[in-house]
Amino acid sequence: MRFDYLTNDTEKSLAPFFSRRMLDITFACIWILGVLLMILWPLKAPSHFISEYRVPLLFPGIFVAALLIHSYINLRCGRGEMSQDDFLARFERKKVITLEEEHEYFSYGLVQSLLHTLFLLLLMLPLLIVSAAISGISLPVFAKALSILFTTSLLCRLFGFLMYLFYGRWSKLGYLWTRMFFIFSIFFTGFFVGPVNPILLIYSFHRGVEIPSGFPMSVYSLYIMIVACAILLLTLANQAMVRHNMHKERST
Amino acid sequence: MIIHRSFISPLKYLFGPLFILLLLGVIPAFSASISLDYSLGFNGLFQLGKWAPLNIMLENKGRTIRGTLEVVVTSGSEYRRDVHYATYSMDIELPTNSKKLYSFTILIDSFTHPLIMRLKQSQRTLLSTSLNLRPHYATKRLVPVVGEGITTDFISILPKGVLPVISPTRFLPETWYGYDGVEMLILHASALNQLRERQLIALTEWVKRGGYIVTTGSLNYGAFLEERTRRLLPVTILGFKRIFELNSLEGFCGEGLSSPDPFLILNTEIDESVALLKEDDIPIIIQREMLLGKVIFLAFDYQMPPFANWTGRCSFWNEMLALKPLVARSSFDFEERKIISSMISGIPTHFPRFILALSFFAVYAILVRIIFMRVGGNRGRRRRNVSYLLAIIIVFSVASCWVLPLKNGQRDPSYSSFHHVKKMGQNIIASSRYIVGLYSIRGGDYQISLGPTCSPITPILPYKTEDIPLHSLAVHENDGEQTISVSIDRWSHRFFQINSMMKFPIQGKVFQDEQGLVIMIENLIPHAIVDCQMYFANRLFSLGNIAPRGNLVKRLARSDISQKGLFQVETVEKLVDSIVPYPPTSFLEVMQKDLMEGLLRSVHSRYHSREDALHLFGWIESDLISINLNHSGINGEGVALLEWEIPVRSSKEHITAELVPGHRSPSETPSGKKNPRLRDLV
Repeated sequence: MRFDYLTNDTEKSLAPFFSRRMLDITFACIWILGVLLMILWPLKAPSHFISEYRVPLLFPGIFVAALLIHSYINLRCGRGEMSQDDFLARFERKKVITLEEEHEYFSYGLVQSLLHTLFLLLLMLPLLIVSAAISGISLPVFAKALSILFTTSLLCRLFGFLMYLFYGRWSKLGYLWTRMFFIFSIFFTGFFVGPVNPILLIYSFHRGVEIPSGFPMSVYSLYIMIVACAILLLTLANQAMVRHNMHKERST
Repeated sequence: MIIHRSFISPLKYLFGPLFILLLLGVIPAFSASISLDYSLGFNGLFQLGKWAPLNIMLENKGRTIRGTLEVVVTSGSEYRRDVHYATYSMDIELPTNSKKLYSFTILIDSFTHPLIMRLKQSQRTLLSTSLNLRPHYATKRLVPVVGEGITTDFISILPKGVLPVISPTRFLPETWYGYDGVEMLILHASALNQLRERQLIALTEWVKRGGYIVTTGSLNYGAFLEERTRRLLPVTILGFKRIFELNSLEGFCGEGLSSPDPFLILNTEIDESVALLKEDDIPIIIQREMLLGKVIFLAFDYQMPPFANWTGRCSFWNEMLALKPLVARSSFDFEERKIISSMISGIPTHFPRFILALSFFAVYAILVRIIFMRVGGNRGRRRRNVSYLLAIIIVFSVASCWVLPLKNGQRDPSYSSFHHVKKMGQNIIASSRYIVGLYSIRGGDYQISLGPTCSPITPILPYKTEDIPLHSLAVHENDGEQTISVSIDRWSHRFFQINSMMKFPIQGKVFQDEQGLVIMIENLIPHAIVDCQMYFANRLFSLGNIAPRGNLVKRLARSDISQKGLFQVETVEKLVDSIVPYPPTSFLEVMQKDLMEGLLRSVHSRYHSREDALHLFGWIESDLISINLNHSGINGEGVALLEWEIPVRSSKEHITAELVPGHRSPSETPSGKKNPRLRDLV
C-alpha cells in the first residue's frame, strides 16, 4: 500500500486522512475532549476525594467521551460519509468505485482502517493520558482502556464499511443500520449483556471493581475476545464482498 | 480348572481381610483427623468490649497438617448496616498424633453474632466450628482465681461487685491486654511455675500497666525460687513460723484470726516492697509496686485452714480489692473524626493547577491546528507535516506523563500516624492513643507490620457506612509478631487505632518559691520535643524545643509570670495563628493548626483553677511506633503530641526530696532505691 493512497483526498478515498473536512472533524473532536477535560478538572484537593471515598470523574468522563466520538467517526468513515464529494454528487447519487473497492480488502481496506483508527486515537492520546494520570489509573488499566477504545472503534469502522458494501453510500437503510449498530453495541448491550459493554467496562476500571463475567475469565478478556471475533468475522465478510464486487466489475 | 479354583479360594479368604486390615492402617495416616477444643475468656466468661483470651487446642491423629487457624469475630449491626469482621489468624503445624494449644487475644463487642473458629489448609477449610456468645459474656469486671484445688466456697466469699471465676493456669492470656476485663487476679503460688514464658511476660507487663495480682505463700514455695518468677516477685524465703493467731488482721479487716491448732506462715523478704501488715515483725501482707500496678503477697495460704474457714474472709477480700491501684486512664479530648480529617488533609498529594492544565491543552490544540492547516493546504509537504504532527503527539504525551500527574501521587499508598500520649505526674507509663491511616489512590492489598510485639489494634470505621464497603480487619500472628492485612479501594482510606499504656521515659520536676518557678525536664527519648507550651496559673508560656536525650531548665521569675497576660478563650484562634505558621507546610504544622485550638481550650478548662500542677504539651515530628509496609519506597509521616501534667511543688518539698533520706523522688522506687528501669527503658 502506498502512502499516497492514505493522503489521497479525492472522492476515490472513503476516508481521506487529510481532507479539509476530515481535519475539521478531527480537530472538533480534540476540542470537545479538551473542553470536557477542563469541565471535569478536579478543583478540590485529592485529600477531599480520599476522605469522601469519591473518585474524580476525569477518567470515565474523558474515556467514555473519546469512545463515543472515536467510534462514531470511524463508523461514518467506514461507511464513506467522510469522503470528498461535490455538491451535486449528493443529488445525483453518483456511484464511485473507491480505492477500498479496487484493492483486496486485506491488502488495502483493512490496513487503512487500522492506521486511520490508530491515527485518530493518537491525536487524543495526550488528553487520555492526562485524565488517567490525574485519576490515578495504573499503566495496565490505562492500556486496557485504550485497547477497548481501539477495538470498539475498529469494530464500528468495519461494520460501517460492510454496510457501505451492501447498500452503497446513499442508502437510507445503510444509514439506519449503522446507527442502530452503534446504539446497540455502545449503549444497549449494557442493559442485556453487561460484560460486553465498553462503557460499563470503563466504569469498572474507574471504580476499581470487577464485574462478574459468568465465565472463567475476566470481563475485559471476555470483551476483547468477543470484539476480536466480531472484527475477524467482519473482516472476512468485507473481504468476501470486496472480492465479489471486483469479480462482478471485471465481468461487466 | 476345578483344581485351580479350589487353589485360589483359600488365598482369597486369607488375603481379603489382610488387605482390608492394611487399608485400615494406611487410611488414617493419609486422612486428616483433627479435633478442636477451645476456652474463651476466663473459664468461658469475657467482658463485652474488652480484650479477652481465646485458647484453641488442636489434636491431630492423622497426617501432618500445616495450615492457618482462624478466629472470626463479627461486630456491628445489620440495622445500622455496619457489620464487619475481624479475623485473627495464626500459622500452625501439627505433626501426626500431636496436640497443641494456640492462644489468641480477641476483642468481642457484640454477642449477637457467633464466633467462628476454623482451620484452613491452602484455602480449604478442614474444620470449622461456631460458638454462640450469648451465654459467655459478662457485664461485671472479672476476678480470675488461678491455682489448684480452688473451691466454689472460696469463690462465694469474694466481693459482689466483681465476678469471680476459676480459671485454669494454661488458659491465661499471652498478651498484657488479654487482662483488659480483669479487676484483680488471685494467683496461687502453685500456679506461678506452671505459667508459660509468654504468659509470665504478659502478666508482668499487665502489672506494669496498672494490673493487680494477689498471690500467696505456700508450704510448697519452690515456685518463688525460680529465676523467671523472681522477675515478677523477687521473694527471699527466710523460713516458716508456727503460730496460733494473727491478731494484726483485726486492724486490717476488722476481724482477727485465731486457731486452736497451730498453723504455718511464711517469713519472707521481697525486694522493693513495703509490708502493709506485720505480725511480730513477720510481714503478713506485702505490697510490691511495679510502675502503675502492684503485686500483693500474702504470707499465708488462703486455701488452707484456718483461713479456709475463717469468718472474716469476706471483709478481708473486700479490703484486698480496695488495695487495687487506681489507674486514671486519661481521656483523649480530640474527637476521632477531627483527628482523622486533619490527618487526611495533611496528605502531601496535590492535583496540578487548573491554569496549568488549561495552558497545556491550549498549546496542544493550537499546534495541532497549525499542522492541520499546513497538511490540508500544502499537499507537497504532507509527509513532513505528518511527521511534525506525530512529534507533537509524542512530546505532549510524554509531557502529560511528567508535568500533569498527581504531585507525590507516585507514593501510593501512603500513610500517616498521629500518636497522642498523655502522661500524669512522674509515671513512666503513659496513656497512649495511636492512630494510623493508610491512603491509596490506586487501591490494592497491603500488609502492615507493627513491630515484634502484639498490640490491641482495632479498625476505625468510616462515618458514613451506608455506601461504603466495610473491609474486614485481618490480624495474622506469627511467633508473637503481628501483621495486619489491609485491603483498600481506589481513592479511599483505612484507619486503625491502638489504645494502650506505653512506656514514655521523660522526667521532670517543677518547684516554686518566693522568686518564681523552676522547670526541669529530662528528655530520655531519641526524638526532639518541639514547640513546647506550658499552661500554668491561667497563663500560657512557650518553652521552646527539648533536644533528643537533652535537658531543659527554665526559670520563670514571679514578675515574669505576673506580667504575662491571662489566657483568654476568645483569643485562642489568634494565639494559634501566632504559634503555627500559615499556610502549614508540613504534616506537623497541619496537625498543629487543626488540633491546637481544641487543645488549648481543653487545657484551659481543666487547669485554669489549679496552681498545684502545670500542663505541658509538645510535639514530636516522628513516628514513635515503627510501621513496616510490604511495599517498598513508601514514606509515611508521623506526629506525636505529648500532654503532661506535672505537679508543682514548693522549694521546701524539693529540698526535702533531695536531702532527706527516705523521701521518694519521682524516679525512685517505694523502697527508696533509684529506679534503674527508667534509663533501661530508653
